[in-house]
Amino acid sequence: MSLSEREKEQLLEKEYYPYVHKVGRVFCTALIFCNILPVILVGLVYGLALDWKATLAAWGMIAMLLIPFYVTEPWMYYAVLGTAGNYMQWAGNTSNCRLPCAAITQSVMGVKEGTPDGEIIANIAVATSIVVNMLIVLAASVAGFGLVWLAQTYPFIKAAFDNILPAIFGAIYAQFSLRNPAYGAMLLAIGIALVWFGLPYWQRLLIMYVVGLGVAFSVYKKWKKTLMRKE
Amino acid sequence: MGWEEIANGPVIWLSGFILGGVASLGAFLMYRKAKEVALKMGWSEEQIKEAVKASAITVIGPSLGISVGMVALIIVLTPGVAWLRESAGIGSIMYELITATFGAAAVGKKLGPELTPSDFMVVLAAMSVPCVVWLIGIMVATPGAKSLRAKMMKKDPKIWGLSAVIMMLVAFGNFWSDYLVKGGPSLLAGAISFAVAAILFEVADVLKKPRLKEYVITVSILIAIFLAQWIWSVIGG
Repeated sequence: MSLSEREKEQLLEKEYYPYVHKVGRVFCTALIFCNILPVILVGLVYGLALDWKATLAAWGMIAMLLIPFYVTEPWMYYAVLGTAGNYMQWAGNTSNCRLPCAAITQSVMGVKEGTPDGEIIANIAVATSIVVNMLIVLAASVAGFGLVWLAQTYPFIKAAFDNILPAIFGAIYAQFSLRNPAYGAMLLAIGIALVWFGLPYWQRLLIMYVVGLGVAFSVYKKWKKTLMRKE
Repeated sequence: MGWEEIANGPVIWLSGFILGGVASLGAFLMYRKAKEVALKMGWSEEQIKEAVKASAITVIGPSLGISVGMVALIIVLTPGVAWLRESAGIGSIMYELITATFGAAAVGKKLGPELTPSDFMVVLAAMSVPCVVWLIGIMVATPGAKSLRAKMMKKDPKIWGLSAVIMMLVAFGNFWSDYLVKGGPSLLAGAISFAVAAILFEVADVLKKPRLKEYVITVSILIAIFLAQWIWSVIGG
């Protein structure tokens, strides 16, 4: 027995979203304390006092650099991650781990983002990625200096893995630009031009959002065409 | 006691297990609810297992990347700090290295042997505490984004699908452009990965075998990083 889209949405509103918001808020709050905890514990156990002047100076430098990311990233992946997946950005590594898992799993299962099925599959994908990723990272940490030896003995491997971020971004870009090649080509060209002109990250992001969404909505409004190759 | 003993000591390792454990418990609770609702929506146990498998396979490539990237964190800050910050510590390797460097700079030093235990406290605070802003941002943004989605879906469902694709193209186009302009092996790796992934996604669709897509990210990035490095060492390096 399968429910209609409307019935699925009602089911989510009644049984799913209230729980997801509750767990999301509780665990984000708990993780705030868990992130501060090591500083407190190290201070207590080893009898060390925090140099507040230096710490505030460090936070100031970090804020100047990272505020654009803090402002944009918590909502910019929502369209694919859905509500539960968005909360689970609490485990970090969103662009290089959580989002590829959610997008690929939705594609494998044949569901669309924004639908009730898309929400559920993204939740399962992101939750799975957190646990599997953590186990692999734990193994790497335990391997510790063995991993350092490997990288120093085989510098080719280390050098190759230095290229992993552009490789991840290229593969993900392929997935979404195959769905809409016209806007894929247009936005990549704009992105390259803006980097070329030396604009900072947040300005590029803002310009690309305004141009990308502006053009897409205008074309859709005027000609009722999304230019999507695969919906 | 040197700062390295503190950084790779039981307190830091335990804190990493607490952080990773809490993040995983939350993920498990979210998963359990998703599974319960999915069964009511008509999904089968086998389909849910397939979704878990697809995600588990997809995450291998990026996780290997994080693990190898952790070498830098292990060298400059010990395996204990690498575990603490990458178990569920919000940031990517690059983020952690930047915040740690700012922490060291604030005490007038560089990351490495010259740090004292007190300096390490500042580095640790610089890496750990700014995540609070990020977590608050998630709590604020998520309910608002959900309301926006509901309004757009009600108006015209096609608009949401189009917006989702545009937003992802903007986000990843912006990230990727940096590496494309940078040139060298980064340019090659991105371009090869794009081409391999595009071919594999198309093959999966033509063959009507969506499960092949599970392997696309990991296969594409592994081919791309080694091939790009090899080409670069032959022609450019």
